[in-house]
Amino acid sequence: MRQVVTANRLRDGLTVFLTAEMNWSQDLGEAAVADDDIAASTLLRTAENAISEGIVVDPYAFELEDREGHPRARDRRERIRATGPTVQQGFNTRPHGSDA
Amino acid sequence: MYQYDQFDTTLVQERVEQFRGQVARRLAGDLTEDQFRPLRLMNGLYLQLHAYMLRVAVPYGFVSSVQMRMLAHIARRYDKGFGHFTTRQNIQFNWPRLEDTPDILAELATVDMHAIQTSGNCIRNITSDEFAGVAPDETEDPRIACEILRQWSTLHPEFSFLPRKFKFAVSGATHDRAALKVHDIGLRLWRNADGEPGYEVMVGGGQGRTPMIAQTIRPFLPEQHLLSYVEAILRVYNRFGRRDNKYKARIKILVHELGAAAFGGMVEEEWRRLKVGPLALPSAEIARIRRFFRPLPYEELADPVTWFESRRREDPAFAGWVNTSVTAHKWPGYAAVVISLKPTGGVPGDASAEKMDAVADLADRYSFGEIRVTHAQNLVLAHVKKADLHALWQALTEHGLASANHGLITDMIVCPGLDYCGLATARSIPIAQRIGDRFADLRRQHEIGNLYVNISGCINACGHHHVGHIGILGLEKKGEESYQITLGGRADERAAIGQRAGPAFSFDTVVDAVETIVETYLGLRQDGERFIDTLARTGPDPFKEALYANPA
Repeated sequence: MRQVVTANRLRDGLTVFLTAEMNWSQDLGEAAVADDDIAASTLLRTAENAISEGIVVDPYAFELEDREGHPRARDRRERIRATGPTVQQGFNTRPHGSDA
Repeated sequence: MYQYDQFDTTLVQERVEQFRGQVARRLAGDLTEDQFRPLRLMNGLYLQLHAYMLRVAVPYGFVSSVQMRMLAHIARRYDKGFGHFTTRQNIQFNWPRLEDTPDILAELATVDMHAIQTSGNCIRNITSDEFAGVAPDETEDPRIACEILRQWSTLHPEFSFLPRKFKFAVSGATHDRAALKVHDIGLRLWRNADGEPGYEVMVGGGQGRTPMIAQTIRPFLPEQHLLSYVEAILRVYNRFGRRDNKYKARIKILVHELGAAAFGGMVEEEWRRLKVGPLALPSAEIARIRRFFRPLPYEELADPVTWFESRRREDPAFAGWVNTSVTAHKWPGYAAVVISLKPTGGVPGDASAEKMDAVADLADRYSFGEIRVTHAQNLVLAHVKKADLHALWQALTEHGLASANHGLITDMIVCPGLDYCGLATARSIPIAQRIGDRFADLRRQHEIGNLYVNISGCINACGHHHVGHIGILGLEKKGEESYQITLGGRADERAAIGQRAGPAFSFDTVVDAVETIVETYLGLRQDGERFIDTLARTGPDPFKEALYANPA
C-alpha cells in the first residue's frame, strides 16, 4: 500500500508532509510516496531525525488511494488534515494574522 | 464582576513568564515533546488536527467588554480572525502558532485572563447560569460560590493530578440552565425552611462514552461548608478513582460502582475531619466576594415600557427576535438578551473579531460593559433597558448578530468535530449547517418551537448529544461517516440521557431523519406541547416507526 509521512510543524503546528528532498511541505502533492512498508519505515526514520532537530512533532505514515487517477489520502481524517476544514467561512479563510 | 487582586495578577503573570521560558526551551530543543506536552496542556495549548488550539478560560462565562476586545485582538493578530465559544463557557482559538503563545498569554494577562486549567486532569472552568444575578426564578446568586470555588481550585496542589478532568456547575435558580446533573459536581443553591442559604450537592453526572445523571448525596449543605465538603468529595475521588483505565477514571464511574449512598458515606466521613478547620468559610469572606456581584446601578423605571411594547406590536421582525432572544430580568424596566451565535450557514459558537468588537461596544452602550458566554455557545447581554431593546436589535442586525433562533431547532450545541478536532470520528459542523439550511425559514422554526438538537463528532460527547432533545452522534463505520440519533435527552432539572432511536444514518440522510422526527412531532403534538413533552407523552415508538418503517 502506498504511503506518505505526515507530521505537525513544531513552530506553528501546521500539517506538513515529508518530501523526496527530505524537506517538509504543506502540500500533499509534494510528498514523497513510499510504495511499500519498508520504504515507509525509511521515510519515518528520516522523520525521527526531524523530531530531534525540532522541526516536527508526532510523525506517522498514512495510506493513499487512487481517486480518478489522482492519489489522495484513503481516510477522511487525513484528507481533511491535508486540505483544511470543510466548513470554511468568509471570515475564517483569511490568511493567518493578516492584521498583524 | 470579580476584580483581580495583587495575588491573582502576580499568579497569572508569573505563569506567563514560566511558559515563555518553557516554549523557548522547547524551540531550542532543550525539551522533548514528551516533556513539553504536559506543560503546554497546563496552559490550555493543544495540538489539534491542523494546528495548535489555545483554550482561554472565561470564569463562569463572565467577560467584560475590555476583555472581549482583547479576545478580538488575539483573533486578528495571532489567529485567523475568529474564535470559538465552547460549552464550558470558554473561548478557543484554532490557529495560534506555538512561538506566539507566550505573547498571546502576556496580552491576555493584561486584562486578567489566562488559559490555566483549561486542559488536564484538574478542576476545569466552573460553569453557571448565564442569567445569574438577573433571573426572576433565582433564589441565590451562584456567582459567589463560583468565584470562591475558582479561587480554591486554582493551582490547588492536591488536585492538580486527579484521575481525570473534573467539572463543576453551579446554579441558584429553580429552572436549571447550567446542566447541573451532567457534571462531576452540580451545586444547586437554595434556601431551607429556616431561610438559610445552602447547596444541594449532586455528584457523578457526566456525558462521554458512559453518560450518567448525577445523584444527590446531600440535599442541603450550609453555605459556610462549601469548600470543606467539595474538598472531601475530591479527596475521596482522588484516592479511590481509577487510574488504571482512562475510560473508567471519571468520578461518575466511582459513584456508580460504589453506589451513591456508599460514596456519600465516605464523603461525610472525610468531611468530619475537614469541617472545622481552615476550609470553613468565614461570613466576612463570603461577604467580601459578594460585594463584587452587587446589583448594578439600575435606574428606577416604569414597567411595562410603552415604547418597547409599541415597537413590538408594530414590527413583526423585532417581535420575533424579542420572543426568542429576550428574557425577563429581576429589575423593572430591564431585560436580558441572548445574542445567538448560530446564524444560518455559520459555525455554531464561532464569532469573528468584528463581531466580538461589536458585542463589546454594545455591552458598553447598553449593558454595563458586561457579557456572558452561555454553555449553549451563545452570548448574553444581561442588563438591557427595555426602552433600548429596539435600538440594540437594529445594531445587532447590522452586525449579523440578530438571529431570532435562541431555543429553536437551529440553536444547536455543536462540537468542532472532524473539521478541527484530533479525536473526532466524524464531522459535526457541516451537519449543523445542513440542518440550519433545511430549517432556515424562521416562521417554520417558530412553528416547531423549543427544540434542542445537539451534535457530537465522537463518543466523547463534547457536543452534548446525550442531553439534546434530538442528539446526533457522529461515528466512523467502514471508512464512512455515520450518525446515530438519540431521542429524549435533556439537561435541565429533569435531566435525562437520550435513547438511541435505531440504526445510524449516513452523512447524506441524517438531516432527512431529523426532518422526519420533526414532522412526526408536528403531527402528534397537542396544544402548546413542546417536542420534549410530546415525546414524553407518546414515547419514542411513533418516531422510530416514522424513521425506520419504510426504508428508502
